[in-house]
Amino acid sequence: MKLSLEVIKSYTRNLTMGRGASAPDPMSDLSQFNADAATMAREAAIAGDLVWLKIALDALIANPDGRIGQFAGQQYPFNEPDLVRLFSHAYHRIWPGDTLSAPGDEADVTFEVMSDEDWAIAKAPLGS
Amino acid sequence: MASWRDNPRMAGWVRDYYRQMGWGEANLDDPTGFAEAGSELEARRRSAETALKNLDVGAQLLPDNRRLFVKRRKEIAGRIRAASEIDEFDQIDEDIGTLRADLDGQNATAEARIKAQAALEAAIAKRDGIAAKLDEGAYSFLANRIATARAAIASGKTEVEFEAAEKAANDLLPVIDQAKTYGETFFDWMRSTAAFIERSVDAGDQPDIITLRDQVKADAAGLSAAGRFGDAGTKLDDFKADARIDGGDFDASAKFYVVYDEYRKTHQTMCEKVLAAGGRGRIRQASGYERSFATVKEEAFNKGNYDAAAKKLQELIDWCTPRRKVAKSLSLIDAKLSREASFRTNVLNPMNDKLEEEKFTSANNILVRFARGENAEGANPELERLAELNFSYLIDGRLEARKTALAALLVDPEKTQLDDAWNAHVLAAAENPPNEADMKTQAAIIRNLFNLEGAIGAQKEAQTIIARQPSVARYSYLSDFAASMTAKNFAQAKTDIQAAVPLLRDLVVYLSKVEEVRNIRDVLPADPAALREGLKTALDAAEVKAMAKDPSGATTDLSNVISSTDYLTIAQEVADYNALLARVEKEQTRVLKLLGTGGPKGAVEDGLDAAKTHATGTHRYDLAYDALTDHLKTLSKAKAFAAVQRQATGVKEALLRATTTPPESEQVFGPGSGREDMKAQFDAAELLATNSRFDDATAAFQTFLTDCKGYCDAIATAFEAADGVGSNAGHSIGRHGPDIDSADLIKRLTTGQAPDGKESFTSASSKFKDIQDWVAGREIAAAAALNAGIDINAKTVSPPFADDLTVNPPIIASPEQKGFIVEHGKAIDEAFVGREPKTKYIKESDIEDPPGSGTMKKMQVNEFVQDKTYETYEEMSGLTRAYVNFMFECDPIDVYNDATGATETRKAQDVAEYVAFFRENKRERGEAEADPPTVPGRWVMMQQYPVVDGWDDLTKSYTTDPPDMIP
Repeated sequence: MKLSLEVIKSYTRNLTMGRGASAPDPMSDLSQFNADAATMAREAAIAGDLVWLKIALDALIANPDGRIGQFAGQQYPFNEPDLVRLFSHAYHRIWPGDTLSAPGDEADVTFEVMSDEDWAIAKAPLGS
Repeated sequence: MASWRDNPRMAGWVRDYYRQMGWGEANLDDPTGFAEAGSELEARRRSAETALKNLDVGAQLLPDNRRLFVKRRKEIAGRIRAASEIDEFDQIDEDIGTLRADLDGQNATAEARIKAQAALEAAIAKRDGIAAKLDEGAYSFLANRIATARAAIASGKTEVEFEAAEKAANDLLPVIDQAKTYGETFFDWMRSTAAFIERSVDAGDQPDIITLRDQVKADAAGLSAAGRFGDAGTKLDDFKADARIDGGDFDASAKFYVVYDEYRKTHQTMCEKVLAAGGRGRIRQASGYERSFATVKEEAFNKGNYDAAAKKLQELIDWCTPRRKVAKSLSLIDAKLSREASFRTNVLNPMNDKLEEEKFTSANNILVRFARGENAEGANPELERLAELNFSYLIDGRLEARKTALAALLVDPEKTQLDDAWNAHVLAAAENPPNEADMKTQAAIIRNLFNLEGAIGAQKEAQTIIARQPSVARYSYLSDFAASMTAKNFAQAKTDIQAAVPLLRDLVVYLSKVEEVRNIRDVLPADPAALREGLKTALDAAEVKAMAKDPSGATTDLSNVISSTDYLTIAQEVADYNALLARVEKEQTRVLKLLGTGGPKGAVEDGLDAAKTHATGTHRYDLAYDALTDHLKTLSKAKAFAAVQRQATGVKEALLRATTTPPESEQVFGPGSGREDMKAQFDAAELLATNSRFDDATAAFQTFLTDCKGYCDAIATAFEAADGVGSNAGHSIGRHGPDIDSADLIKRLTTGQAPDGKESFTSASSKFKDIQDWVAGREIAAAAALNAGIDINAKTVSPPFADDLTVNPPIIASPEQKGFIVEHGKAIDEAFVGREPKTKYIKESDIEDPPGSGTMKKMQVNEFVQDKTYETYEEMSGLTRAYVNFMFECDPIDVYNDATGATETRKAQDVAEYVAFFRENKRERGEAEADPPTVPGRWVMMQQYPVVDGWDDLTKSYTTDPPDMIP
């Protein structure tokens, strides 16, 4: 399944280029990202993308190698383990009680550059 | 002897050819017509026509050149038709000869250009393949050489120039090879020296040795920047040659770190997966390797036994590599199945026997067959039971994410079926003992529906194709898929859709070709009718093929027809127009976005419509092409106007925002009417635009911006000072302002020290060229924020303070932050982007265990990890976008402590925390807990910096457009 790289990035940018990332030592206290996580979920919910954000975060956390880095933004040099920690924190803030997939059990998603129109088709129910 | 005239097919062909060429009825006894014409004049005319027709104005020419030659050919053709004296053909023949010579020259030039471009692309691809290991000197040397070759091709006009450009690009290939050799040496040196210093140099000596390393690295980069890669490589040896370094120890460790790095990069994930899948005895011997990597680190990092460590690491790789496919198959078998004796007997044991015989494919085949419920003899009831049980186990614990994704795309009745079966399965599995019969029934339903998971990609592609080209639906290529879906045979549906999609892709190409052929048909003159008839026949025949699910063959047939001499010129004319139109429309979209509703929007839209009318109305693709070329110039001017108008508007609005009180105004503009004068200057420029004097308006806005520089300096300082009070904000100018120089930017990347002196790590260090761009960007984002419901002048945030996304409709909290990417439409910047991070050795660390739990645990790491600074970097320029975000900073709040009787002033990091403090204060004071009526504070601009994400520095453009970009 293809997810829009730019759309998912526009949500995660709240985490990687927001309030927490502006703190002097961002990764020292992940609660600094709480408002960023809430804003990210809010924006995704308004766009009807919350389920896709959840699927995307779960997939990136379970299988980060070589792909989670493209969501790092340019503000702070988050490396892959940083991003896994940060996205996991946000996931549990947004969906407390839900468990993350183990590696290999995530949804089979790829992140691709696509137009707004193609993203609308990608996320529309199959019969529509 | 039989003549060709006696062959009806040959004779018919000659007659058709004569008609298509407009030569009238053929005389088969005298096909050249010379005798029939009976005159030298007609003979010369035919001869000239033939000579002219044989001139091939090929597709390889650039459109402008090709059109020029076609024009010349048409002009000569006219003279041939009109000639009434034999003497006129002397000049005509000479002109045809000249045209042929010119054409030969241009064809040669075009071929040289194509070769040069291909050589450059090969060089770029080769450079990209090695870029990650280059130091900044080598990287910039190659980037400059590539940019020079690219510029030479772009400005080339002659065959000689293109040949020179091709040579320059080809000459780059061995240089890139040299750079590659140096890059590999440098990369290994970089890692090895960093590791050596941390592991083998006494802490007290480390600062001096780090200085030595930095100096050697800089010296080498200086040499590589000049293309002296051999010398640069030799220079790196200065490190180990230093008297303070134990050369032998360094060599041993360096050799190990190369193997170690390669393992981390290429093999580690694979090895971890093999060991995880083979754990708990599923693969015999796996337990013997589980601690291998830890042992490797112990030997190398703690004992300095580098050779033993490298040997151990290689053993691990050698053991894991051939077992990777088995591990992948095993990962699809739930660990709980190992409790079943028959699974161990029938699957695991034979698989392990094969592994011990080193028959890895056979071992994997056992697992592949098991997934189908089979053994070597075929279907096996016990293995079928185990396979179904395995799927149940997977449903129970491992398919949740995949089910969520599938359910999000299904519609009823499948969606409800999946949910119902899933829930029933969960209930059956929760029974004590588990209700295996029910589990099996529900698992079968779920398994069938999961076939659709594999069909999603193809189905989505089909949906996309149909949405873009609804006429595709006429061809019934999806009928088999639809029938399988109706029959709920989802496995077959998956096969059907996967077979149909490649045909749909070909069908899209076919339909595009049909459109092209129709356009050519419309352009053709009515006489001779055979030309149009020929296309109609070809279209009809192709359609029959397309309907019969051979769109590729139909496309080939049509391509062959329009590639014939009769249609080629027109086909190229149409193709040139379509290619240019696509480019113009893309640019037009960008420009219209920048223009908004004002300015020359109408003129821009009308200009494109007028250009297209030539093609769609009168079918004059040549005129349409010229009109599009002119329109590009209009777009360029409109873009420049839009950019400067937006900047000027932003600056004016920011100045007004910052100077609402007389003291503020006087501080920025000085005593007098400066504020009003500024506004009047802007209004005068705006009036020019209103009166459609866009060139004058562009100049006036530019002057306005120049004149406002001092004012912008003043308000930027004031904005930053105000934002910085009790906040992490207020540092944008200090880190990204125009006064920062390249050395400051590089220092931040390589050391983490920002230009304002504070520690601030970043992966991209960028600056604004002009303060006006910074001020305008802030204001443009503020206007966008207002459109999104955020007034950055507001001093409170109102309820609701928290989201509840579980109710319908969801409760959405008031925003407390918002980020934007602002497209300026012009270069605003300069940036250095980190490429290869430094590494540092971590002996032990606090680790969140389990991840996301917040529980910190001290773990032995004994590992090199990426640092937050960079060894190498890349320079970029010409960036046109900036990221701007606003945050609400809550005011401090007093919180009473009932136990101590003291009151503490706290600074909440966000609105949720402020509300929590407010409630705590109420509680401590014995009052009813309640949310505050509003949260007091102010909006600050937390960040503003030029965006490097997605920037291609070679083409000086962004490769993607983010959805939240302004405009």
